[in-house]
Amino acid sequence: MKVTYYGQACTMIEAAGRRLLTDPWLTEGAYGGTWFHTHVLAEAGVTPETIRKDVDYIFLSHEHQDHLDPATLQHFPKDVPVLICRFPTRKFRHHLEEIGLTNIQELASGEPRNLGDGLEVTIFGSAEYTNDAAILVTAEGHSVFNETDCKLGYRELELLRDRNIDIGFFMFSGANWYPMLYENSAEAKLEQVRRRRRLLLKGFVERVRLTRPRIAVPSAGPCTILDPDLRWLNSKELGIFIDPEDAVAAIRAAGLPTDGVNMAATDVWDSSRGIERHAPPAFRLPRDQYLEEAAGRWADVIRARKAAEPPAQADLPTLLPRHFERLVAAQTPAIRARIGAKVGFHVTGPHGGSWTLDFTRPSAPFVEEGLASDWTYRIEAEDKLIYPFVSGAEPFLEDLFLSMRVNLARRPDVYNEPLYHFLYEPDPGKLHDWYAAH
Amino acid sequence: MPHIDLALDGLPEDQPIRVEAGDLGIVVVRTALGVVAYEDSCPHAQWRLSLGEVFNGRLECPGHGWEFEVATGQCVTVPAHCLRAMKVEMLEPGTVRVAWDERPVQMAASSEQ
Repeated sequence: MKVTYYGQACTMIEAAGRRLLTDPWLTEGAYGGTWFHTHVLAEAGVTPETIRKDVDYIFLSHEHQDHLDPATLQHFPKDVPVLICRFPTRKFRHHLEEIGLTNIQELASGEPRNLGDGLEVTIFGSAEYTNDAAILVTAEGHSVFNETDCKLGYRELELLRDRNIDIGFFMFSGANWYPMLYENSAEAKLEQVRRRRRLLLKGFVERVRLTRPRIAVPSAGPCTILDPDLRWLNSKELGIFIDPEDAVAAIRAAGLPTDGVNMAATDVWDSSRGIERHAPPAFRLPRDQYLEEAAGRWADVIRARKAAEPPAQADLPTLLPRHFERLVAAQTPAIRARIGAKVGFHVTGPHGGSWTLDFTRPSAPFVEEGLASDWTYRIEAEDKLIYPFVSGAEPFLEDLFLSMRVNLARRPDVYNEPLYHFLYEPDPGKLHDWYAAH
Repeated sequence: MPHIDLALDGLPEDQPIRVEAGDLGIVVVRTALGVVAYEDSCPHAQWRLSLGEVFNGRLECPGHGWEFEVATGQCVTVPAHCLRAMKVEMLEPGTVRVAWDERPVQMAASSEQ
């Protein structure tokens, strides 16, 4: 068995005469141009054009742009067999069909599938509301586990210990906007960042301890942010994007019977020869140095991309309230009560404005113009960034948050998970079913 | 009632500690107000809460970030859930007794509105 790492959650797994590619994201600038790979892949010669296309399967864990990249997938045959987890709704599958994939195979979580010649895959669905999945591939007496950034339940992780994993790829870094983008005192945010980083590393070490692979590779992050306006997010003190070397050190410090290995893009694990280093020397530089040098190399590209962003259209003030009125009204009263928030949108730019989504109202209308004085959650974004989501061009509103090009505030400073679930996937049936069970 | 006795000075303030009694894992937290103990299992996905962190009177699970009121075990993130509480009794000198019954885990009443 041979596994080539292509950054983030992308691995090419070769065994039993087959090739299986996981989460191929091989371009740069996901989420409104903000996310680059830990190391820019093109600097290792890896692009959608250069990656080999003769793969037998592609596994796609979920819809996030750093895992599912239409610009990469368009370089593969449309009928390549695509393995996904069977999620509670068909939104993910529909998205794949809309980008032209024609051979989508849904696997039930936890059920092994024999793909022939001794190649077996098992997909595990997330324990969370969000759609996400991990994959275990077994062949030739070896096993590779790619967690992507799927958060599994404790018992599932314990059961994986019996699968004799040779090499596991585990998420370890933060990958979202909390707490950095929230309005808060500098002191509070520093403490929140410190706590978040500690918990992320603890969780990483615990998942490695539970699954007990021979080799653990920190993966699925950290993203690299090279936009001059947002580079502060890479900071150890101000951000939650963790250096893979810190994750390897955490494994070592825990005294686990597992080798923590920092694989950079294009490095290979081979079941006969072990780890083979192929990544360019620049990918071995200290993180701060790499970030500084990469930012210089990519500054002109980022500036040009931002200048070319399409503007919002004049109908934004009509579309935004209509879009959210429909979504809020579609929920059951119990779900609206569970969310119980007053969400203010402050949209800047030529076609901006302010609106409030009021989940506490007993009946429609749920959206009113203006920012309610007693808002509990506030989202501030440029009109051109929010327009694709309210016009229907982009299906996943969470991508706006992941662009890191928003300012957020909440009163009180408490996580409202039902609100997050609504913003993530406001499917009324899914929300109802989830909260009936939770 | 089965129980386990713990030395108070072995419980650092606001740091969750795991103790085991047979198959039962217990998370013990000493705060400025006293000592509390719960089953060491998050009701969401069964992660060990003892790996979490205490802040502002809350215990955060390292698995998926659910938060619980340390004093009551009430889940803040999804209020329909509550931790299984153990009985805590202060013994003299400097010893705390954590006791539990053998009943199955009880869920708190739902706060669904």
